[in-house]
Amino acid sequence: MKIECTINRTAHTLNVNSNKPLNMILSEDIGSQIRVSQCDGRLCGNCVVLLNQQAVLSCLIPAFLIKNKEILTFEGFRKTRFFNDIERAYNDTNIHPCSHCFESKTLILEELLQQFFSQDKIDESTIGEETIVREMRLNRCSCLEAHEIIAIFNAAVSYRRKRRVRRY
Amino acid sequence: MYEGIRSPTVHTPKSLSDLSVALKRSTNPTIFAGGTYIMSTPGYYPKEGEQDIIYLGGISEINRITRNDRYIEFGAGVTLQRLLTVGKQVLPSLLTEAIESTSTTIVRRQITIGGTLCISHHRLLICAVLAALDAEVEIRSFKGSGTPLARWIPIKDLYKRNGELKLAELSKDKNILSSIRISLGKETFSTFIVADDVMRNREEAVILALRCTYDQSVITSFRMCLVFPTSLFLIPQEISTYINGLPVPLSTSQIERIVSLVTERISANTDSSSPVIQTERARRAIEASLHALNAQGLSER
Repeated sequence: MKIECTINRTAHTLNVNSNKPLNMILSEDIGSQIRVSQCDGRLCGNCVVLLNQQAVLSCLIPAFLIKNKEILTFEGFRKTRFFNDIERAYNDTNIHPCSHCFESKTLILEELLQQFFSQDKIDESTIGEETIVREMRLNRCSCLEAHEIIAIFNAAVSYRRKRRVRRY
Repeated sequence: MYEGIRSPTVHTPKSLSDLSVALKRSTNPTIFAGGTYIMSTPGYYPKEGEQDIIYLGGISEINRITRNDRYIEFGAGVTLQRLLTVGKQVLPSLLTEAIESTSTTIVRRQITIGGTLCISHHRLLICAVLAALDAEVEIRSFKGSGTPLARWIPIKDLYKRNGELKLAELSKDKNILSSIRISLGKETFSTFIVADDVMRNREEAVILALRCTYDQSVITSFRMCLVFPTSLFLIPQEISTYINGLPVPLSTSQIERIVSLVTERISANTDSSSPVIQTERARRAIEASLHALNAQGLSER
């Protein structure tokens, strides 16, 4: 099956099986510089990518669903200005996820920040601490404590808020 | 592409009539709604002998949510996250809490309610909760030519007592679960208990969903659903009959009687290979939920 899509802002035409999972496409058909896990459906949460700016587990996305979609892996995301907010939050709090889950936790955090600042939210505080911790637990790695996750999130929110104020 | 492995043909029908055509064209296709369960099956890819895929995500008729005074109806293709966002104000609290406890937003955006109900041999929390809420499902039959025949059946009729999907031959029989309907009656007490991880430890996990109303301390409309993910789907009618009409709080002897009745039903409906831990967990879950009912009843006096 021929599939056209954009991966890390580069247009690709892929010739892959229609049911091939996205994580396998990224590691086998795109190039070795993209690191995603091969958890074989165990939902380890290490293969998060952004599909049309929404975080998804790439092991749950078949090839036919990425047709004409925009995929951003961590390698692509780290070149955006949004990554700077999260990176500064890590440095400010001096708390970093371990090397195994750094990519996916950063992308989940980005998803949470997007939800937090989304236009249709009446009240920003609708995303509570419990929700943040639960969402981050999608990645099964237990390198971060709940209070550490909250600290990183709050720091990232303050940076993102400053960026939004400057933009308007 | 892997050598020797055929790339399955993907049909993406836009309406139920397109779906009818797609079902006629392919033999024994894989029906793909959200795909979370199918794709998380170990050894999903690469695999030889791949069947055609029919992707239901584009069918507008099964992606609607409608509501009137008596019930809320949602298409089988509605995702859990959408149901939570759109229907939070109108859905029964038991269902919203069950959805919220299912995985995280990222995965819920992909899980469809129809897909959750149609896993052939694995029952999940949503099935138990919908059964406790006495939901009905619409089955569309695509046999023969012309418009598909639709019929509504109670959700309990969708499964065998061992939890297997009665319509496991869904695609062979050309039957599709298209909608789910819940009446909007108010329950006074509802709860669910999930013991252990339903996805990873399915041989030992237990799910209990229970709801009832009580008017002037007398229990009415009691309904309970007990699920062992791979071996039991139980809606004990005689326990509902026994409890309906009893006053709140239930006495210790009444709770013991209910627990022993359920235990009898479990042993009658499961084979001896079922782990003892599941029966024990079921006993404890029923006890805990009945004590919670007592606590709520007493606090409202």
